[in-house]
Amino acid sequence: MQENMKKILFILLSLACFNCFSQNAVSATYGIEIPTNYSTFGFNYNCSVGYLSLSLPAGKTYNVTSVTVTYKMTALNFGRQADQFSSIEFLNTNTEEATEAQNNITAAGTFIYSRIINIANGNYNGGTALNFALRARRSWLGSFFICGTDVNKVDANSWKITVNYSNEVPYSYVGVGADTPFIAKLEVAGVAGTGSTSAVFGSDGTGISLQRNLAAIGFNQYRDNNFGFGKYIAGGAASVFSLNQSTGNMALDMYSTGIKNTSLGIGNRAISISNSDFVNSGCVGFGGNADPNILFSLNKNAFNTNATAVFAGSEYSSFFCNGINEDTYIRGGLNNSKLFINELSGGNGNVYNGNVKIIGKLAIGLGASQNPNVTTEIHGGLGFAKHPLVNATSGTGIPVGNSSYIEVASIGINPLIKLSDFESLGQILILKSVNKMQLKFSPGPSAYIQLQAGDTIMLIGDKIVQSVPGGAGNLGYYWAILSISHNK
Amino acid sequence: MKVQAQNVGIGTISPTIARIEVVGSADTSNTAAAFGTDGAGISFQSNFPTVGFNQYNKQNSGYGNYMFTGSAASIVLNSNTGILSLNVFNNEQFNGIPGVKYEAITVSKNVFNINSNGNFAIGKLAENNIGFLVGNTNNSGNSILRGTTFHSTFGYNDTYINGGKTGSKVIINDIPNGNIIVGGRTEVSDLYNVFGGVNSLSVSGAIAFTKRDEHDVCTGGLYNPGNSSYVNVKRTGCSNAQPFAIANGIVEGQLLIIQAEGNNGFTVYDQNNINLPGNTQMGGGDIMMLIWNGYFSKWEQVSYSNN
Repeated sequence: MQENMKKILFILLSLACFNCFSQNAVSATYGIEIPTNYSTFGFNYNCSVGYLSLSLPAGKTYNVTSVTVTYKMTALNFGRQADQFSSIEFLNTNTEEATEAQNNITAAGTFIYSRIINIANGNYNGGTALNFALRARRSWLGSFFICGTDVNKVDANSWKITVNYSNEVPYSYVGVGADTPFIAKLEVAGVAGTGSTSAVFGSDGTGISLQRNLAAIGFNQYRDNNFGFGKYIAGGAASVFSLNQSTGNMALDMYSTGIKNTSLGIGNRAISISNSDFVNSGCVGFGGNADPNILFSLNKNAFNTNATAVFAGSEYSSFFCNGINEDTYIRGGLNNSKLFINELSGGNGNVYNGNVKIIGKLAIGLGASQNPNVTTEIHGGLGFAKHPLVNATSGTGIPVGNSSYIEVASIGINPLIKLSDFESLGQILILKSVNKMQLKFSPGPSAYIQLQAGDTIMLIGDKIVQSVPGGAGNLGYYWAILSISHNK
Repeated sequence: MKVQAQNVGIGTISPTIARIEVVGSADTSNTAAAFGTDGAGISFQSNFPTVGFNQYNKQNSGYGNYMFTGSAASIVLNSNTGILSLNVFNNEQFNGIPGVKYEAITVSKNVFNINSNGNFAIGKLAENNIGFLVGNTNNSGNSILRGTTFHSTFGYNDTYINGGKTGSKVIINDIPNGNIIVGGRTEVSDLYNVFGGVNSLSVSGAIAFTKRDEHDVCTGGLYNPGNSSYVNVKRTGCSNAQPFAIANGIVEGQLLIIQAEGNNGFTVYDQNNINLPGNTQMGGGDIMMLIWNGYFSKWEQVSYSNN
């Protein structure tokens, strides 16, 4: 046996209980009669039951190997022994004998019941109370009393329970540095030296250590002192997963390769978990510390030169902070994959939902390596979705809303059509007249233009000075004409 | 305890799995081993297999118990479902009192979990069809992906997609046929504090059509704008009778700006799929804007400038 194993065996033999093979027993007797209950099947009433409780000695664990049960039942006053039924229940586990005890004697008299049962077998802590019940019934009424002692009963002082146990416990507790281990089968208290390492496994190679204060699992790492990051169990890389019980925070730290029994340098935090209070518990940080106000933080380290994060698709991936320029690529995963931005329900037509704000220049259709020069560059076509056809009567307004292309049909003869206000300064509107109408485009009695069928007019939301009744030179927002085409 | 050969068995007389093999657990619990129990140590539990940090399980139910005063955590594998979870425990969240040695844990929070096919989720249960999932939260946001200076954030009111530092670009869907669909309205601005636009596309600055097609009415035949809105047109030798014909637009409302080049000029006829006030002679520098009316299948003139 190797030296290490000898040490382990010595410790375990010193601390574990090894009182093997000795048998012990504890007994108790019930002192009064137990009446029988008239019942054709089962034990339906609590009147016909007696209880016995026995305690195992104080100390460590005991193994109950069997229970011996004896009692007498007497049939009298035309009662028959064959009418007797009885059963033992082990109340600790609510386990009852599988079959009732019974005999075939069709005469009065006393029958002695004796048997060994195993329903209480098992391991128990020292001092455990083992509780039993004896239930009795009869199958012939024979009396004015459904539950009574006048035709069948369990005799007083006849019910005896003997619990046979051994303190040779095959499943003992083992404590190392713990005199009374009770938390676990194997309980280790204390540490080696002045460090925090309670156990090491596989220390002949790159093994695992278990540490307390801070609770940690060391992968090829252990602590033999209370400062620094610990030491390497063997040559190679190391990692530590730990809990700071004071702050509640957890961390998985990674360490580069080192030499056996030398100190670890500063590592890199791969995962961090916050647990400081209810609101901020469970926030996770990758690549550094968690932000207690953000559920998931992905931090960028100087060595993350390719990207902070990559979300891979089947063919194309999205990169965050890619390369030295830290550009971000948002992509679908396949050829023809679409990209939805802020596609919220209610986004269409709802001013406040699903909007996108781009701070900077926007290039549509431009190569990734190029930069736009003006605010919006369209490298391709531009189309305006057409507003549904509006049928307008004289004096009614055309609801332009968030449109730049609208087709209007007039109802009546050459009606005067008004436009609703534009939604933002500079809004472009291309209006196609289906038939003849007068279009009013700004205040003032003459601010309208005659449109014929097929004409197209382009307007822009403008800020102009207009004279209005009661004042002069007021600044107002009005549609202004950019161009008109009298098409056929 | 039995020792056989050089293996140590606790609760087994035939340890074969490892040098130290523990079978069974303490009391009615499922804690097979505990280390560093004089402080905030580590426990190993069975059914479901668990590594407890300052946590063990005395009752084989609930979240277990504190090994020592303070916070606690566990990593547990649900051996029925195959889901591996990391949970944190902090009774202080519930009653303002830190976890007390041996007392039952009453408050648990799942931090992340990994399902049997390796999918990872933070703050909610992992889903079979999503590789990496971040749940929602009532904190200041659910995700932040950091750059050196600027970050991308998700899940709390506004979502920001940014490059990592000044001058970084955001490239969106630069894949073949990589279309973009914007659910609401888009505002483009060079300035951060510009008033938010309310049109589908609000541009605080210039719009440019930088893809300009070149077309010769003599040699080009039918001009097909496809996905274009800007074309430069010239006539290099054929007669002026040669019309400038345009294929249908590809989408309702498509704009087409026609710019005439050179001294020869050419004619846009008011015929077929083009609706003009009349046949228009385009000289050098003239500009005509058309819009595609899908209902009438016509390019309709919006404006003409005889420059």
